[in-house]
Amino acid sequence: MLLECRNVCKNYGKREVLKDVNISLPSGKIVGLLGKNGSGKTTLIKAINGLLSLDKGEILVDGHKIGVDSKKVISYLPERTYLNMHKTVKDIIEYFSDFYEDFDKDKAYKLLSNLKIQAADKLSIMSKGMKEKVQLVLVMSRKAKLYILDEPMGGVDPATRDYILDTILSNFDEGSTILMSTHLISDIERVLDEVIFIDDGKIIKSESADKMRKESGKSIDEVFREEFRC
Amino acid sequence: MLGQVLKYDLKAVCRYLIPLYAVLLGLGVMVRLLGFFDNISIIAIICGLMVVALVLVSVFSFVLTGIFSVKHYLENLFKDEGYLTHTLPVKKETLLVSKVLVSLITLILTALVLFISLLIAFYQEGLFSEVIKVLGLSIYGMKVYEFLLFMIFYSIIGYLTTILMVYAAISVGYSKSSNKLVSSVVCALIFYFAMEIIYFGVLSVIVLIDPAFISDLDNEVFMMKDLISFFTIFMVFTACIGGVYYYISYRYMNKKLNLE
Repeated sequence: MLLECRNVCKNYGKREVLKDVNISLPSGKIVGLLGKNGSGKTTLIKAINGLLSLDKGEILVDGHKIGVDSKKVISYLPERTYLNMHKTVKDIIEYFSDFYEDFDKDKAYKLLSNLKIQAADKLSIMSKGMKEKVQLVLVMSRKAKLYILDEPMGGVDPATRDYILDTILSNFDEGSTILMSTHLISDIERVLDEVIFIDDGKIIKSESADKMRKESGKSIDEVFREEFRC
Repeated sequence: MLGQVLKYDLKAVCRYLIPLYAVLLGLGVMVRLLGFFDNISIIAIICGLMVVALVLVSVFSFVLTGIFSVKHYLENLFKDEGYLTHTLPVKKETLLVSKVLVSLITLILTALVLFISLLIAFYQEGLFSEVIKVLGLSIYGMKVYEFLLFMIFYSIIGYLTTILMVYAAISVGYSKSSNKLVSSVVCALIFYFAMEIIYFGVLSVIVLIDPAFISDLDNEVFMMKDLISFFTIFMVFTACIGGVYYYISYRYMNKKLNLE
């Protein structure tokens, strides 16, 4: 298995945010991590990336515990902008190139030129949407085994959503796995191989997208709405 | 990887320091240039003000250097930038060692720039030979340059321990779920008072072992080597406390990281 979460628990103070989460993901899949706001999606993603310590349980990525080896194989897009605004596009590409052996500089420049972004452009003068695109390009320019994308299409217009989804789908290796959290299920449902529903820190459903559609006779979006109806 | 991390950390901190260095050197040049015309009263007043400004900036330059190191530590590891820093395939100790080295390097850089600035402002012919003569003098059984080197080394240890204390306080404070900054400040105060208590304890032990030690420092039999041994005890303790702060920072970053 490429990703294994075993009995993962996380509390924020007295509040349990992840409750005994168990996930196993093989290579070569596109997986949707779906849940309402505050259901624990981002917390789980942060834990896999080593940004949060666990209270209980274990996470293995490609057989490695969270650390240098796991980080070598994960390409992570957080839900916020993590780039240093004082840098230029060239600076940040050099930064990625220095730290990630699997980073393809040429691919990054090519993808950025499609967006009409120049190497000398400063991140500080870019719009929020443009910064998010630069970040996506950086993440997808790695030949990683596992791409973890936290709300990659959150708060953007439908045209940009299409661009983001196209960039993701046309830039990952067939053998890699994508774990993507989102609310915009209808936009991504056609590409999903596996679906994980998370609610109140617990995994309530984890199965193949086709099986879910077949058994329910509904789209994943409809199943989600039914499952999480307020 | 340490080299790469160090390169980017240094670049980030130097971005803040370069304006400070420009001001220091600029003031040095201004004092020197205005000094040529100090027979004109208005220029003499401006020159005097420049000297005051140079002294003030000189005094605060080390404080600012420390603040910039801490600001970088906080932003690079515990704010939004931390999402990138902590997902790099780099060991936590490498991240931490780099931050400590940057504090040391920038301290030395600031001292160097300050020295050059003061030299530009106040250099006079024969200054170096005069300084060399003074450095070679012997006071209370010790050469001046030996004493100066000791005090510089002691100051560096003290500076790094203070920086590590703030790093540790931030690491502990930012592991909490809420009120992270307030928790960091509270931690820093606790660490500071704990350090003071330890120093007081060390002093008490010295007095208990040798009751005449402190009074000897203040009478005619005073020798510089006594003062040095007095400071050496404190330097060793300061270094050990610095080591403890390093461990706390590492432990919290490695086991209790909480980028909520």
